[in-house]
Amino acid sequence: MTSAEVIVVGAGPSGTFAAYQLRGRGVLILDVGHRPEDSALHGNLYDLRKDPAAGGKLFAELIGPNFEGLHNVFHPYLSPKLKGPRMRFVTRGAAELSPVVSDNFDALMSFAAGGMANAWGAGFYRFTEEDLSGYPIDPKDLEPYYDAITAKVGISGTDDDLSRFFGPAHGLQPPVEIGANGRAFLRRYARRRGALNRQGLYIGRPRLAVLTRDHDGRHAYRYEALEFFRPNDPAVYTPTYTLDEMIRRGEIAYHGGVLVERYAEADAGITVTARDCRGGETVTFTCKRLVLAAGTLNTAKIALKSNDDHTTALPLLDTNLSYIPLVDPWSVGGALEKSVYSAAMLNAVYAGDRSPRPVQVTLYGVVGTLRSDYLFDFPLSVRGNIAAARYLTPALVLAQLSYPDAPTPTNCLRLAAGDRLELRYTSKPAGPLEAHLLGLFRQVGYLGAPGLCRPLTPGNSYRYAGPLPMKATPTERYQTDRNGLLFGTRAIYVADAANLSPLPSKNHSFTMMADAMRIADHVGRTLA
Amino acid sequence: MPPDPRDLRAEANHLHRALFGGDAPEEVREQYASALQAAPLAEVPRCDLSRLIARGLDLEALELALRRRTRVNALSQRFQVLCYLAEARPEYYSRFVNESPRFLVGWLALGLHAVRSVYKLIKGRCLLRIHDVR
Repeated sequence: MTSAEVIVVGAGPSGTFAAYQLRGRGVLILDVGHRPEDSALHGNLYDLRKDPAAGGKLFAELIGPNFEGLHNVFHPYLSPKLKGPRMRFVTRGAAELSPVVSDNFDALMSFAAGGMANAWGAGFYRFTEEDLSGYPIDPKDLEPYYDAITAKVGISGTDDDLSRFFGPAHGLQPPVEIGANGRAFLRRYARRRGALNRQGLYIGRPRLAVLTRDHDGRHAYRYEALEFFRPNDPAVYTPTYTLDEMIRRGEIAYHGGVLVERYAEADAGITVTARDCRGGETVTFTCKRLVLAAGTLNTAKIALKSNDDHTTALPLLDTNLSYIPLVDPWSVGGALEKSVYSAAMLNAVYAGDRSPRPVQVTLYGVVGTLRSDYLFDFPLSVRGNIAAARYLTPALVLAQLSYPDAPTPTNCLRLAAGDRLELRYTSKPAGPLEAHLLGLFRQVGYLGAPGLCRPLTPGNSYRYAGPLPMKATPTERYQTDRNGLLFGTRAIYVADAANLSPLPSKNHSFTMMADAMRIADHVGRTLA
Repeated sequence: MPPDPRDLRAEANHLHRALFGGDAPEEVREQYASALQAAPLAEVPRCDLSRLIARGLDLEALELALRRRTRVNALSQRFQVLCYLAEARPEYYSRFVNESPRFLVGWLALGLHAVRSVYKLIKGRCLLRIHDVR
C-alpha cells in the first residue's frame, strides 16, 4: 500500500494545477494516463497534402489504419478534434472505464494524461463578477491564480472590446495571426461598432493558451494547421507539459495505469481504492488529504460510489452549443491561406436583451479540418459540394454559440446498476437567438440562413459542471464549502468543474485550473 | 453476410467515375473495400444498392435525391468514404483546395453547380421512383 500526504485523482487541467500548487509536499497523482503516439506529420498541412512523397503517410495520419477519420460517416458525431487517428488517445477506453447510459447526452470523457485538454480549443477566459454570481467566491479570490497560470502557461490575446467580459489583459502575449476573413470581420465591426454595441454585440480577439512568442522552453506557434491531426504541439498548452515537468523534477509522484473507484475516510486517514487498468486487480493507497479532480462526471461517480449511493440524482450542467455557418460573399473564390491559426480566430459576445446572460460566440475558420468533414452539409450534388468546399471555404466562418447553464431538476446524473452513470439532459431549444445574431452578423457583411443553424446534441461541448456544487454554507452530502471540502468529510476536496455551478457561457477551463490552485492552497495550509 | 471485397472494389470505381470522371487508383479501391467491409452502413434505402450501383445509373443524381429525403443514407455514406479517401491523396489536392484568387470563377462555378444540382435532383427523384428505391 502506497502512502502520500495528498493524493490528487486525475491529471487533467484541474488535477495538474492542484498538484502544481502542492508540488514538493508529498503529492501523489493517480491517473489512467493514456498518452499519444508520435505523429509523422512535420510541416504545414497543406504542403504535406500536395506532396506526392507524403501519400502513404497522409492516409495513416489523416484517415488512419482503422479508418478512425471516417468516424462521423457511420457513428454519432464526434468533434473533428477528437476523431483524428492520432487524437483518439484522448477518449480511448472511456466506454469501458466509465460506462454511461443516456438517450440524450453524448458524454465524452478522457482518461489521457492531460485529459480533454489534449484536444481543447485552448480558450482561456477569466470569470467576472457576473459569471461568479451564485458562487461563494469572487474574482478577487481567483485573481492571483489566474495571474500565476497566465505567467506559467503563456496566453495570447489583447485588450479590446471583449475585456469587459474576459477580464484584465495584463501579462498576455500578442494575439495569434488571423487570416483575411477574420481581419475583414474585425475591420467591418470597427466601422459599425457603436450601432452593434447598442444592439448588444461585441467582437474581439480570443484569449488562447497558444504561444506567439517562445516561452518556458516551448516554441511559438508555427501556423502549420495541424491541430486536428497532431497532438501536443508545444505551442498549444496542455497540462501534460506541466505534469511531465513536475515528474521530471521529482516534485510529485505519479502513478499511471490506475482508475480510482472509491475512497473511505477514517480517523487514521483516507484509503483510496483503485483498479489496475492492465491486470484488473484492486490497488489501495492511503493519504491525509484527497483532492478529487477526475473530471466532472468521474469525480461525481467516485463520490456516489464511495457512498454506495444508487438513488441520489446530482445536478448536471453542460454548455449547449449551436453552430451558424456564415459566408462573406466578397471572399468566395479566395485563395487558401494555409498559414493562419486554424481554430478560434475571433470571439463575439452577445449581451443584449434577447438573452438573460451574456452568450459567447466563437468564430472559427475551417482551414484545419478536411473538407470532407463538412462536404455533405452543403445542399448541392456531391460534385457541386466539392466545388462549394473549394471556393466557399475561404469565405466560410463557423459561429459557435455557447449557452450558459444552471441547475434544473430534469438535468441530472446518478449511479445506475452495474456502476454505470445514467445521464439525463433536456437541451434548451435553439433558434431565436441564432436568428437574431444572423441579423447582426449581416450588418458586418456575413450572410447565413436560419435553416442552416445546427444545435449539437448535449454533451458535445465536453464542458460539464455542477454535480457537487460549491456553497457558502453547504447543507447536503454532495455539496462542498468554498474551499472545496465535501460536506460531511474531514479531508476530501473537490477541485474540478464538479463544484462549479452555475455555468456561464464562456469556457471554464481557466477557472477550473485557477480554482484548483486556490483549493490546493487551502489544502496546503491545513497540512501545515 | 459481409460484402465481397471484389464487389466493393468495383463499386469504388463506379462512384469514382461519377465524382471524378475516371477509374479510381488501385489503392483507393483497396481502401474503400476495407473501409466498407465492416462498416455499419445506414439501413436506408432498403433495396440492394450495390445492384443499382453496378447497373451504371446516375449515382450522383440518385445520391442527391436520397440525401434530400433521408440525410443519413447508405449511398451518401459510400460517397463520403470515397471523398475522404480521395482528399487524403496528393493527386486530388486541387479538387478540394483553391490556391489562387478566383472570385468570378468561384461564383460562376457555384452558380453552374446550383443549376446542375436542380437538374440532378429532378433526375434523381425520377430514378428513385423508376427503380422503386425506398
